[in-house]
Parts: sequence; C-alpha cells; structure tokens
Amino acid sequence: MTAERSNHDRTTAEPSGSTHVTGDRSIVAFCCRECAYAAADASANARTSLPPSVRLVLVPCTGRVSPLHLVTALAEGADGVMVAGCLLGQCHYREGNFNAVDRVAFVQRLLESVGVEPERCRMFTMSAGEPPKFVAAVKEMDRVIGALPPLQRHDTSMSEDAGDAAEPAKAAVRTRAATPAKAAAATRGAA
Amino acid sequence: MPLTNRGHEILGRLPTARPRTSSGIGCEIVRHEELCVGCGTCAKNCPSGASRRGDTFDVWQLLDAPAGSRRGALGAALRRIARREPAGPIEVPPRVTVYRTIVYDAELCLGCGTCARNCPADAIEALAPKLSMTGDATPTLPTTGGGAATSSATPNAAAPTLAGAASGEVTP
Repeated sequence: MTAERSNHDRTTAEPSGSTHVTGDRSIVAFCCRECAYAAADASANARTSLPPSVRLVLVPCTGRVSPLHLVTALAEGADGVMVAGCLLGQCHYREGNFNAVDRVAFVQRLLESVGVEPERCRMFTMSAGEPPKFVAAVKEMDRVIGALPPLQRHDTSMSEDAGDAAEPAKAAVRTRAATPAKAAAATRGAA
Repeated sequence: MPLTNRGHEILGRLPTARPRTSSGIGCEIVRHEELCVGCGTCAKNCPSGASRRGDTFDVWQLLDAPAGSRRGALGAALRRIARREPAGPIEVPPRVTVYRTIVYDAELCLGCGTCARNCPADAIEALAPKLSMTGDATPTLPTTGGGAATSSATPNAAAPTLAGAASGEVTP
C-alpha cells in the first residue's frame, strides 16, 4: 500500500483544463480492494499521474462504506468523497456495491436536503483491469469539486446554546422542539 | 395473545422467562414522535406489523439524534456542513434499511404494548384498556366470552380482562 501511495503523493502535475490550484481541496476516495484499489495500483505502476487532491482509502468492499463515513469525511475537511467499486454484478461479495450505490444515493439526498451540492458524493464503478477509467473518474471528480464553491463548516459545538445569533449559518439549523420534548419526557418519567 | 393455561404453567416454572408477545391486548398505544429516534426496535418487535419502517426519512431525526450513537455522529457531521434546514422528508433508496422513519398503522395494531416495553427512548406509551366501571365489576376470562359485560363501554373492550397487565407485566 505504501508504494503506490508514495507514487501518488509525488504527482504534482496539474490536471488539464483545471483553473484552480489543486492543493486547496481534498477528495477522499473509498476504493474497493478487489477492483478500484487494484486499478489505482496499476495506474501508479504505469506512472500515471493522479490529481494531488485525492486521498485513497482502502476498504475491503464498497459495501463497508456507510453514510457515516461519507458525511464524516465531508465534515472533517474533505471537499468531495467518491466511492469506487466493482462493476455492478461483479462484486467480490456478490452485492456489496449495490448497497454502496444506494447508500451514496441516500447521502446525496441527505446533502441536498441540507443545502449542500449532491455532486460532492459520487459513486464510480470499474474493474480491476481499467486503470484509465479510475484515473478518469478521479479527474472528473476533481474537476467537479474544483468548480464548486468551498464547503463551509461550522463549529463542532453545535449544542444547546444555539440562541446566540452571532453566526447565522449556525443558527440556521437549530434543534427542533428540544425543550418541549424533554419536558414531556421528564413529566412522563415522574408520573 | 393471551397465554393458554399450559403456557402460564410453563411460565410459572421458569421465573425469568417472558413470553414473546404480550399477555394482554387492547392497550391504547400513544406514540410521542418528538422523542422517537427511529431506531426501529418497535418495528423489529411488533408482532402484527403495525410499526414498520417507512419509505421516507425525516432528516431531523439525524440532526436531533443524541450524541454517542451512530445516528448522533452522523447528525453532528451533517450539522457541520449544513447550509439550511431540511425542508421535508427524503426518499430512501431500497437498500438503505436503517435510516427510515417509523410508520405506525393503528389499523393493524393489536395493542399488545410490546413496542412500549422495548422502546429505548420511552417514546411509546401503552395505556391500559378502558374498562366500563358501570357494568359488571368482575371481568371474565376471554375464553368464556367476556365481551358481554362491557359491551356498552369502549370499542376495544374485546379483551379487557387483563387490564392489570396493561403495563406489560405478565400476570399468570
């Protein structure tokens, strides 16, 4: 794993057609061990350059990737997440990538519902013998993310003291009916 | 479903045993949606399919989820990047089974109270079946046709004889 990682980290070539500096964004790619990671490995061995924004995460199967992984990656600093798995119907574990397709679709709807561009989370499928397809997918993702406005993140302390309207983005999402629910629970617990 | 005599006898010999379903039927189920975290325990335990996972998901259930849970972690992460409040429930793809809002179908509900006993968020209450106090004070067993004494009282008086078991405890 270290060899191709270091190869990818050395690549500094600018992807063609990109007008942004690629160093200021990061894309997390969850790669299936059977297909996409093997394709990434082969592309590194062929000395193909990847956009430097991409970080590869090896997973045994894309069915392991949960919405929590994808959204947490976005919240912790990634500008885009991509899930790269096997061709549909060719999953090593039979149907892991079908699960991943639906989870990615779910995360896209989740992002859309809170006002974030759903293009920040995408699913790609490829076989192990298609390194160019992997490189094309990463470059496509890098191009799409580079065209989007930067993703703003609020403080981690999105807690009860949302009353201060100093930060409007933070106050935009407040807790829904927190106090009546807790009061109801307290009264019912006492009864 | 009510236990048979043999069932009660077996239950008496096993002090720690609990029947899979409740011994009483006809409780009034009150759901407090604002407390529901959508964990699906009620749907898993419901014997009749009255509580089940629906086709949509309310994003507020993530954003309001308590910390320390997987939903809470996902909701906290979503809060960090949120730009606006979610407008409404979203459609859920078929293979996503967990993140679904629970729907409750009162038509199918037996009133057994299993959901209320198992709910970890105390979001479901099972109220005792309403009994008529004007009729015969001594309830009869359901096997002997107990509907006659309380026929004028409530619509769910078909099985009110185990009213003491409404809280979900087993009364042999």
